[in-house]
This record gives sequence, C-alpha cells and structure tokens, in this order.
Amino acid sequence: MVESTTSKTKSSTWSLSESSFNSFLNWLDDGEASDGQRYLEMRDRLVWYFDRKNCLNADDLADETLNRVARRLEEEGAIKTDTPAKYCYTVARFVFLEHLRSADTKNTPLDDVNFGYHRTDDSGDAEIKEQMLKCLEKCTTSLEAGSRDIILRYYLGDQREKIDNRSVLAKDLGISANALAIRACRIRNKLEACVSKCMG
Amino acid sequence: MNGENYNTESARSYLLGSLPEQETLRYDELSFVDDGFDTFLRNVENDLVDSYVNGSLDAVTSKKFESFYMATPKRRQKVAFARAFYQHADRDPTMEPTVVKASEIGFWEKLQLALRPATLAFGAVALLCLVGAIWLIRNQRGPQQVDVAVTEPQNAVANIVAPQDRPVVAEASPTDTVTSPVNESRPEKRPADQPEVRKTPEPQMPRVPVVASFVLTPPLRGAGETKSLKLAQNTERAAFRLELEPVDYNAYKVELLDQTSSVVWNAGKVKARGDQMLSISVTVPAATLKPQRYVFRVSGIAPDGTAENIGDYAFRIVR
Repeated sequence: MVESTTSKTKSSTWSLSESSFNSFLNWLDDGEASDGQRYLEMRDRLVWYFDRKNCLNADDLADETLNRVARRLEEEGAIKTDTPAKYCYTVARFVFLEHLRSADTKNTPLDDVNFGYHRTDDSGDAEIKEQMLKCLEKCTTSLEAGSRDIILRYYLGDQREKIDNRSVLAKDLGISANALAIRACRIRNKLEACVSKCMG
Repeated sequence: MNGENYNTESARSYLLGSLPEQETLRYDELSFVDDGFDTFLRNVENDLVDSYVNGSLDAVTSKKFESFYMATPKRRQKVAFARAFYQHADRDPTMEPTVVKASEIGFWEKLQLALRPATLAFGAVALLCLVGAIWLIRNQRGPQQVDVAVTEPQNAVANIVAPQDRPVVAEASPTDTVTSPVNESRPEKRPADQPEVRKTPEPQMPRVPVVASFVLTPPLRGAGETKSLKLAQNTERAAFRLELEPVDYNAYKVELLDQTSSVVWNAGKVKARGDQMLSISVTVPAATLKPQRYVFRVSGIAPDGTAENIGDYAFRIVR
C-alpha cells in the first residue's frame, strides 16, 4: 500500500467558484434541499469507499472525485445520464483506478509500506489512549440525551445478554430491532467522527 | 437489493477484501446508490470491529482482519475507538448486564459512571456508593455462603437503589423460602454512604419493563432445600447473577434446565466478571419461567473447547 499521486495536477488549472459549488450542491440534492447535508454524506461515502480500497489518502481522493464531478457539471450544465450518487460512484471508480496506476509506478521506500496491522501499534501509547478516552467522554457528553442512552444501552452486555438488552431497548423505544440498529449505528458513527475530530 | 436480501456474511467478506471482484464491484456501487445498503454495511462493519475487539472472531477471520482491514489508519482508529468504548464499559461495574431494568437507572448516572475518570468528584461518590453496596451485600450474606433467593422489586422505579446501578438484592438464609429484603438484619452497620432510594423516572422512555433480579451463590454439596424465587405476573425478564467458586475459564456455558431436565434456554458462551468474586450474568425472559423447579447448569469451557460442568444452581419459581 502506498501513497497515491492523485491527479491534482489535472485539476490544478480549474478551481471551484462559489456559483459552481452552489450548482453542485443543488444537483446533489436532486430536488430536495438538504442544506449541504447531502454533500457531506456523499463525501463521507467517498472517503469510506477509498478507505475500503486501502487508499491511505482517502480524503484527498474523495475531494478529487467531488472536484471532478463539480467541474463536469459546470462544463456540461447538467448531468442527466445518472443519479448523483451513481455518477459520483462512477467518477470515484476512475479516480481509484488512476490512483492504482500511479501507485504502481511510484517507488515507495519499503519502510513506508504498510503491510498490515502490527500488534505492537495496538498495545499503544498510553497517552494516545488516555486522550481518546477523554475525547470519548467529551463527545458522549455532547450527544443529545436520548442518543446517549441508546448508545450506552445498545452496547451493554455480552452476546446473548446484549441481544436481550437490545430487544428490551427496542421495546422501550417502540421501534423495531432493525430501526434500533440503524439508529445506534448512526449515533456510533457520529460519536466516532467526533472522537476522531477531537483527536486531531 | 432490498433490506431483506442483504447478506451479512457476504458483507463481512467484502469488508475483509475476500469477495470475488464482480460482487465487490456490485457492493461498491450499492454503497453509493442504496441508502439502506450503506447503513447495513456500516452496521456490519461495526459488528465486525466489535467481534475483533471482543476476541470472538475465529482465527482465520481474525488474521484476515489484521492483515487487510487494519491496513489503514482510519480503520485502525475505528478499532481503537471500539476498544476504548468497551474498555470504559468493562471497567465500570455499573455497566454490567446484571442491571435489572435498563431504563430504571437515571441516564446521567449511567453515563457519568461509564465515562468520567475516577478522579472526578462524581467518580469518588460512585466509588463510595459501590463500596457501601458491596459491604451491604457481604454483610447481608452472613457467615454462611449459601445459595440465595432474592426478592423481586414490586415497583421497579421505587426500587432504584444506587447510582452504581446494582440490582436490588435481598438474600436469604438457607431456611428461607420466599424472601424479602433483609436490610434490617444489621441496621447498626449501615454505612453513612449507603445508597439512597431515589425516584428517577425517565420521561423519554414510554414504557418501563419489569425485570426481577436474583443472585445465586455457588451451590453447596448436599445442600438442602431448593430456594424459591417469586416472580410477579407482570415480570417480563428475570436477571440472574450466578456467583462462581474460584475457577478459571475464559468462557462459560449456561443452560437452564426445567424439572424434566430439558434445556429450555441457554445463554451461549458468556464471560465471567468481577475481581474478587467472579460471577456470570444472564437474563431470561420471564415467559420461559413457569412455576416449577429449574437448574442453571454452568460449565466452564476449556481451551480445547470442551465443556466441564462446574455447578448446578437450583431454584424454584413461584408465581
């Protein structure tokens, strides 16, 4: 796994103007005003996609993808061949393939290549762990009360116990187990994002 | 693909980079165009990370997880997050599932106990309360360590006892049958910092399930009568804490046998908790428990996977 050389040079001559960006946001919203939420979701999906592909610079690649889509939108005036999500995926795939090609041709010092996880990394620096715990505390406190309750109760117990607890929690909230899982997942991801931001 | 057709195993393989290319491409696309799949996949990923952190992945999957999944800093951080989250939960006894009714404890107490450093003032208070509760339980047990029947809270809200979230426990002498709280047995030793009875209803919870809690101590050889545990009609769940003799197994199997020795419920593989006194916590749907004699059969799971019986906890349900 290596750092990619994204095709920043290609886009370096083009920059996103405010009006282009607004058009881009409207296009992503696909008729439903989301106040930028859809953009954030799409960026998050792109980052996650590149990360799943083991790209070390997933954020850069996500931004590169969004820039290309916005540029195409500005040039064409409209993109009607695909839904915004589908089109973003198509462009992301090209960006990823380009990334692979550039990674193949780039010489990377052996020491910089991450061949996987090393346990020694995990046993970890006590300071970082402590910082994470502090961030976790801070972020959990900042959650809305109902969300805090759900996230704590959702992960309470082991195995069978946990299943039972979740069943009780779903009943308490008057929602299905699936709806509870979705809600808990969103809260957890929010908490994770907060901790990640807090950790810098 | 709709929500009914998502396949967890395939999604796991996808996240571990083990899915064939065509399927991988399909999943890649779905993660963009199908909101339901995106959520499903994130759930599967969280569960996968949790399984790794909790050591419940098999050796092959675990190795794959380490070699593939943990290859990027973002995902390593995800694992670190999960580990931190569970460490917090594990470190604090208030997060143990012996909690009789998840919604009966004020959320803030649970949150503060779970997440605040012990050096904070609240942590200190909680610690004092915990010591008080342990002292109380030890003194209630008396000189004989016998099996115990425990009362059920008649009113779940009124029986909230402590910020440390301990179940309401009343233990009995070997001659007792159906028991009641016994705090009055040693009133002179009641510590000043004993937890207060408080009422903390949670307005956001529309419904409060009734859960009875019981503590069963290690069975004595040739023990006398079977203890009776009373369950009210409206009880929905019965939480049991099975205290263990000093044994050392990584995991335990708990089965509930009815009077015909048929297994009517099992907890699967569970872990014991506690420092000085190990115990296992299980919660059984009250509907499973009819008025008859039952036995919790507890087996330790040896490293080679074989189960060794370490005790039968007998009790009788009374309605």
